[in-house]
This record gives sequence, structure tokens and C-alpha cells, in this order.
Amino acid sequence: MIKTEAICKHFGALKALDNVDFILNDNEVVCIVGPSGSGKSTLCRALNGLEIIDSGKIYYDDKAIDFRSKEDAKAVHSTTGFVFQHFNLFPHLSVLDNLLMPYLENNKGSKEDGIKLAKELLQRVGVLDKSDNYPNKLSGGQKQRIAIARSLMLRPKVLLMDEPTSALDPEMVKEVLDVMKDLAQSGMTMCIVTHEMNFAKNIADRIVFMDEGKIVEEADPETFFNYPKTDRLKTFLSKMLY
Amino acid sequence: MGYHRVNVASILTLENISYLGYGAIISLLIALVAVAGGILIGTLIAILKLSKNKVLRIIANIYIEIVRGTPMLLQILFFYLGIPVLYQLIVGSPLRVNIYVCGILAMALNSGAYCAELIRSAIEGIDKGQREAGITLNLSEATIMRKIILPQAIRRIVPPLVSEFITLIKDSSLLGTIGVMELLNRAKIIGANNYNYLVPLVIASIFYLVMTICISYLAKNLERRLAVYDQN
Repeated sequence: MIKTEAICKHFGALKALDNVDFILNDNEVVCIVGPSGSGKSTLCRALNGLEIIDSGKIYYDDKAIDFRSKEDAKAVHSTTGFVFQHFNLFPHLSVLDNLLMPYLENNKGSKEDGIKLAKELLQRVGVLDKSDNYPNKLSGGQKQRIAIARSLMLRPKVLLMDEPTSALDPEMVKEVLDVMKDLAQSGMTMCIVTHEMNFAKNIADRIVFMDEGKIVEEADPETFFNYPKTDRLKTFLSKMLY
Repeated sequence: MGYHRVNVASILTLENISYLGYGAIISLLIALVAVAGGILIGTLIAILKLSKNKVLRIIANIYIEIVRGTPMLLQILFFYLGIPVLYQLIVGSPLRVNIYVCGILAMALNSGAYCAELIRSAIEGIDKGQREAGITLNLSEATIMRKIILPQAIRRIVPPLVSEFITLIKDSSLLGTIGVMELLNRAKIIGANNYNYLVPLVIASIFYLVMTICISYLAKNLERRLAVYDQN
């Protein structure tokens, strides 16, 4: 589905991504974990062109993508959903219109079909009753579930999530993780940057550990948590788990 | 030898008051056309200022600096007295200028610089996550601007734009210097005719205040309606 080859990204003197080779297979759920500043968010954003890489290659279905090209970017954005840490719902649109506007602007179908799909998705994430509300009236958990529903409006083949629960109050985290789990179990290809270790352990097919802009280690959850190979991962896990 | 008797009643005639009222309408219309022109020019300059092209940004900056760094009265006089000379130098034949066209053009160009800064800062003030969300939802830059950024920016622009409009109503009095018969100029004429400036100036003040207070009030209502999504 997605593959990167030796991608690098600098922010001034900081090396956010340092020769990263990353793979996301079809129907796979990959969680990216690591300390703050390890480059995991940058990787997730680079996969969608929100950060333009300095060097290296990004492939979608074996096709090299240059996000500076409008056509390449459009090809990716029309088939990829993205969920932000801070939701980024459109505050001037009602919940329903947040979902409907991108659908209609992308000429995905008629308004009736759009409303039908939007309501299905809102039902699925459990906020159908908030359709007519404006985002600012909702809780963080509700906002993020709506943002997830919105990211599904273009029927993406893959979902990229950049710390989707990091900005939430603790009591709201579960309702969002439940939605993500439901999506994972439905076979959606997902790449999730997260700090939720237990969640990663439960739903990920593979966990990727990043530190200082590099992928240090990756493995299935069982191996990842029980048999970490590198000292850096061991230290990280000992700090994360009680 | 006695002093001239001050007679308030002889000035407070219906004729004088309606003469001033007509001046108030002229001032209001001048400000309205000027602010409309200012918004148009301001949008254009703001687009230049937000563009990726450095030359366009510099042009916009020069424009803004010139307008904001010189008095509006000078700009008005430049259009009325300076441009015809320039025209004659270049074309050879004299240019007849209309005081209203000159005055309003000068004010619109002046207002454009201020509006440009208002519009630019309102657009730049929108969280960058909004644009990013638009990108990830496969929306074009134009759609992001039209459907996401501008609707949010407009609400932020309304309050400062209203104060710009109020400023222009007051500044329209500067056009009196080139002969436009706006409110203050008319007050001065009545004052001169009656050897009494106090009464016409007070009446003119009342007209100015009625206009500015009404506009502030209407603007508050408009803001409330635009802010529907902000109410928690």
C-alpha cells in the first residue's frame, strides 16, 4: 500500500526523519510509537504530503509520489484519510456539513447520497444525534469521532492518524479508541501514531518504534513488548509501562 | 457700537437643518463608496501580500507603506491638484477632474491599504490545521480559500471593517477642502452666513454621532448573527 525509501526531513538543524524505510501493507494496522520528538508525527504527515520530504521516495501502490506535483498529491488525498491530533473540524459548518462539503466538492455523488453516507458514518461513530450541532458545542471525544467519520467520507483505502487521542481528556480516550478498533477490525488499512501502548498491543498487526528520526525496531505486538531487542526500546518500554 | 446679537433660533431653521442633513447623506454615501472600493482594493493587495511571489509582496508592501505613511489630506490634494499636472505633463492636454471622483478615489485607495492589512491578518489568523484538513480531504487551494478560510476570516474582518467605515465617514470631511459639499463643509457655510459657527457645528456633530452610533449598533447585530457557531 505505502512504502517509503530512505526519506529524510530536516527542520533547520533538527533531523526529524533520518533515512526512514517504512512499509504499510494492505489491510494492515501499524502503530508508530516513540518518545516526543522522535519523528513519528513527521513520518505520518510526510506520508500524506503535509510535510514535504527533503530526500527519499514515497510509493503508493508501487507508484512513486511527489507531493509537490498537484496530480500526485490529489491521487493520494482522494484515497487517503487523515485524522489530526486537534481534530481540525470546520467550526463554521454544522457536523453534517463538515462531512458533506468535502464529499460534494470531490464530486463523489449527489447531495442525497452524501447525506445518507454522512449519517451512516455518524451513526457508526455514535454521534448521529449531533448532526445539526456546530463543532464548538461538542466534547473532544465527540469532535474526534466526527473527524474520523469525516475522514471516511471519501471512502479512503488507508487511514493515517496522527496522535488521535493525545489532545483528549482521559475519560474521552476510550470512546475514540473504540471507534478506531471497530475500523481496524473492519479491515481498514491504518497507520496510527499513538502513545496508547495497550491499544497498540491489542489492535496493531505491527508496532514501529521510532527514536531520533529513525525506525529503531519493529515487530508484532507480542514480540515487541515481550522480547524487545534494542536497549533504546527496552528503556522506552520500562518508562511507558508500570 | 454693539456686538452682533447671537440668535440661535434664526439658525435652527428647517431649511438649515435639512441642508446639513443632506450633507450628512453625502458624507455617508462617500464613505460607503470609499469603503466598498477599499475592500475591493484591499482584497487585491491582500492577495498580493499573501502570494508566494516576492515581487508581488514587495509591491503590496510599498503601496501600504506609502498610503499609511502620508496624510490622507495630502493624498486627496494629490489626486485633485497633482494628478492633473502630471496628466498634462504626459499627455499634453489639460485634464478636467471631478471633485467627487477625485475625492472618493483617493479615499478608496487610502482605505484599500488599511483593509488589505485587516484582510491579510484575518486570513493568516485562521489556524493552519484548517487548511491542512482541507488538503487531506482533497480540496483544491481555491476551494479551501472559498469554503474554509474566507467564511471564517470574514467574521473576524467585520468588526475592524466597521471601524474603518466609521473612520471614513469622519474622514470624508477632508473632502471639504477640495470643495465637496459634505456635512462639515455645509456646517462651515451656515456658520459663515450667520456669523455663528457654534450651532451648525453642534448640529453637524449630532449628525456624525447618529451615523456612527447607528452603524456600530447594526454591526454588533451582524456580528452576533455571524458568530452563531461560536456560541457554546
